[in-house]
Amino acid sequence: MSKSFWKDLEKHVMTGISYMIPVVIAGAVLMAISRIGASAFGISDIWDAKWATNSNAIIQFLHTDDGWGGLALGLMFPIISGFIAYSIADKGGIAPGMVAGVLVANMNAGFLGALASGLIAGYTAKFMFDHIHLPEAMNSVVPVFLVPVLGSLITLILIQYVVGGPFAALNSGLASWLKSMTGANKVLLAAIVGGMVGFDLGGPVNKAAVTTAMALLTSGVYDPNTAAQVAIIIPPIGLGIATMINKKKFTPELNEAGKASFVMGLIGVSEGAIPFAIESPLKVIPINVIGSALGSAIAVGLGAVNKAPISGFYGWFAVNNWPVYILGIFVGSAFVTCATLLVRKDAKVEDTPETTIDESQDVDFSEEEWES
Amino acid sequence: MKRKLIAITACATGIAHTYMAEKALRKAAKEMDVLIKVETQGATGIGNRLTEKDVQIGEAVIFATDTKVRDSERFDGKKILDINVSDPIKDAKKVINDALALADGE
Repeated sequence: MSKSFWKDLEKHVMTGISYMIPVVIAGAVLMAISRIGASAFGISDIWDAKWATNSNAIIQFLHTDDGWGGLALGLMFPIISGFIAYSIADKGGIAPGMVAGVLVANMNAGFLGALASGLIAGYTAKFMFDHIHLPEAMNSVVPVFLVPVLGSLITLILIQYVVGGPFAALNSGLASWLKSMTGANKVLLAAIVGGMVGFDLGGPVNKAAVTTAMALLTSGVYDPNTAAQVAIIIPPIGLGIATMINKKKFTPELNEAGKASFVMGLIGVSEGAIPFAIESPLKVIPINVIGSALGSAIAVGLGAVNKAPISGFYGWFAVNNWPVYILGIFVGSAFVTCATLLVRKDAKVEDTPETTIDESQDVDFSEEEWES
Repeated sequence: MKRKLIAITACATGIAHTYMAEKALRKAAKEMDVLIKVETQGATGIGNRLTEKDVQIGEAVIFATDTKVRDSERFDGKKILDINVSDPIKDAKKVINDALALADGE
């Protein structure tokens, strides 16, 4: 396979993930609201049907809200499948991709199943657009009839009878294997997930780890998610604090980025640490990987369980065993802060004035100059 | 007459890389005395949308994207430099030089 094929494939999957993220956030936060609220009443199984008829209206609502969160999370596989197909075949891919994504969800074929259905639907639709040539007068038959119907049918057949079964088996096998992990293996798993998340800060390795961990939540496997959510925020928080402790070791730009990074870390966005990783990747990346792995291993090893795909501070107190969860975040971040300050030398003072751009404007020149 | 380029930036989450790549391209272009218009396809929607006229004027198009470019048919027939969103963040001057070379048909 050519290099550009793999690059395209990555782009399609990333497109699917980018459309899936808001759905996951919506579902996860709705669910977290219901579970945090329920814990105030001492309820730990708010999803149980018995709460639907509780005499307290608030508890009833929390139960209903938990169901809404579940509805949103149920869209996860249809959306990623549909938008992978959209990335490949444009609008025509969406219908077959989403329909097959629902089948994937019903068959419990997991994240891999959803990737497969998106790719199959997309390439099937694209193949039909590229190779079916009808007389001019009947041209519209392809997008309005053939691609939606045949595209869906072909994808559904392949998912139902060919790839769906093995992926469902793989998914449940993986889930029960991960669930059965204990002791050292569990800590090692957490460290690996944490390290992957810290490695490229929102890049492909990070997204692979985070989305797999999120997908496993639907199978009732919580450790990878706990590890991932801890790891997401360690690099931006650790680096942010480093700039606050010793400004001299960073350029003015990085000091500015450090403040943003700290805030982004608190709300669960690892991308805040990117400016540091770009400036000196060989120092920052290993430190981030170790810090994230350390924090994840501590949190999971000491028994923290985060059942929601939320890493921001507003989710911390919904975690089972939250004190050790926060301890993991603290130790990982402290490692990043200290190691960064140790390996960095004082920043050179720039003599040459930096080129600046006016960020409140879209362009840096007049329309006349552009059109001349 | 200055050289003119257009670009699109987009990343998976649409909140960080997209805009960092935009700023990197604009800054490098300014230093190199090249005019550039950058459209950001982020989580909040499309920013500074390139008009039909912009597309005509741009000598080459830079797709600094990790995801599908929305409405990419606007650029049919243009010379396109298709790279990752992280490339301009790493070395925006190289990206601009590559795009200019592409425009010159090298």
